[in-house]
Amino acid sequence: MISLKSMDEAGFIGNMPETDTEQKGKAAEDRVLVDRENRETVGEITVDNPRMICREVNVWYGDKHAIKNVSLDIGRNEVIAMIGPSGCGKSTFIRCLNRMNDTIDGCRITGEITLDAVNIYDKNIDVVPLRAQVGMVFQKPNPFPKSIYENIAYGPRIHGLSSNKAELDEIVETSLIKAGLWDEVKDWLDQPGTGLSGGQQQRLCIARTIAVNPEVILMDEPCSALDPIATAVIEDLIDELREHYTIVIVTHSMQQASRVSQRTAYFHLGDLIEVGPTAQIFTNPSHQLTEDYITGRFG
Amino acid sequence: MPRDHTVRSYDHELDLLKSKISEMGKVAEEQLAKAIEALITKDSKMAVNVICTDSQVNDLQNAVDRLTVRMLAVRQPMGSDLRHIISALKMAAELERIADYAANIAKNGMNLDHVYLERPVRLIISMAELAIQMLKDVINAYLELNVSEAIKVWHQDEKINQIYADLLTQLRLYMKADSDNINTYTSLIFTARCCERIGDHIKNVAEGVHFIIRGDSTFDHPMDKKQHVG
Repeated sequence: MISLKSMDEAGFIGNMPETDTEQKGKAAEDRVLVDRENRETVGEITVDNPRMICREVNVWYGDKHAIKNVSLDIGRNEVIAMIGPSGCGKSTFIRCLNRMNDTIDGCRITGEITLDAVNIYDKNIDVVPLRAQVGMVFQKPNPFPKSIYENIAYGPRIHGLSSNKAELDEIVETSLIKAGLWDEVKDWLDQPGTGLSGGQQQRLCIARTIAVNPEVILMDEPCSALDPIATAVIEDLIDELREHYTIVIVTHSMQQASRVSQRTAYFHLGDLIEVGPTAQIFTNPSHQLTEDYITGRFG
Repeated sequence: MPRDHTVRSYDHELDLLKSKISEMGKVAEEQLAKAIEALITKDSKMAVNVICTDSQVNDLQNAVDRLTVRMLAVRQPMGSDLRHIISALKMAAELERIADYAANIAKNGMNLDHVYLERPVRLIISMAELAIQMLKDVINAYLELNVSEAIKVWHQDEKINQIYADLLTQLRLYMKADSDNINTYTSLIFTARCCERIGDHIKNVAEGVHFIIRGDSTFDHPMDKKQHVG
């Protein structure tokens, strides 16, 4: 579960109101939320030492302007949650981060997105290794119709990450261990991945993503098809994975966003409305639209 | 301006919470007024009445506790709703303590009827009157989400503290001169202390209002200072 340390980073401890009312200097300005009409991003879009930098990203699906001039940094070893109502562009945005939108007809993207200072939309970039570096886990678990072992081994094999069976075996084992699935499946590696429970299948997909050494893992509503126990297991896993990877998670559950992430970004009609430390976003947001959404006063 | 919630029953629950806090404020205020009146008129019947009706405030606090626990579980509140519910929970505890102190004043008042103590009693009355006004104002500030009113109330506690300090100085002199009536003087100190504590609890309620509106309870802002002048 989320550690005290990460709670601190998320501002749960640091942002606690001062009980010492005599303390000088630190105080609120008159609290007026930013107007609903204001579409400029509120909050700090940059982080120190970012893993990915997105600047003035625009996405069109045909005539539909799905992402409007969004700039945002994705930090190292952070979990950043994307929230917002359906159609707000949060999924579209994360699909830009590993060029999944390239596969959609009529989709046009402008702006700049870099991964470790390399522009991922450069014409010399091969999207296959890019999608290994920036892996993705989807809403519905989608294991290949193959054995558990093959589900994991496929990626490292096509990316040439192992030279022999022993190395491949090791990758499969470590990936399953990291995804918290090893103990449950180690005796059944030759069984079909589709025979696992929904939660196990999702962890299998996470293991498959981990197997190709990603730097960033994109998760598009990874728990919305899972029961609360399987959800808790995945959330626990996300917290552990943060040690090695950067995670960008899209979720419709605000409680989930508040539990797993350190930063939260709120999207509305293609605009990035507000981004900030998760605790601040959920307890004391700065934009009226964010406040409307998180308190259930939407629309 | 905040919109209504998509789920209307959530708004009804928040309205109910508001009305419970407002009712607690009103009852606590009445209790204090009656306790002081009992003290002035030496009406022990009224004092007993204050002591007996204390349970009404306790019941209200229990109702607020149940409602807030339910809302936290069912609504999983965020943003200003979360701040409102958490503050209401704390404010209810403060108001309950204020009513307890009113009952204590009533209890003590019954020991004070054998000595002529016009001056100290007058100071206690002025403390209580200030507290009653502050209580009224802070509940209004809560209902109207008026931060400057809350700040004003918060700073008024200083006046109560000042009167309390003056009273103590006076009573020390009385006690030196008239050691036969030490029990009465201690009772007076105790009563004054109750008023002083009530002021502190009202101040905490004001901090709760501030927290709902601004998201923190820090009062030492230059702008806040400007606002409380006058």
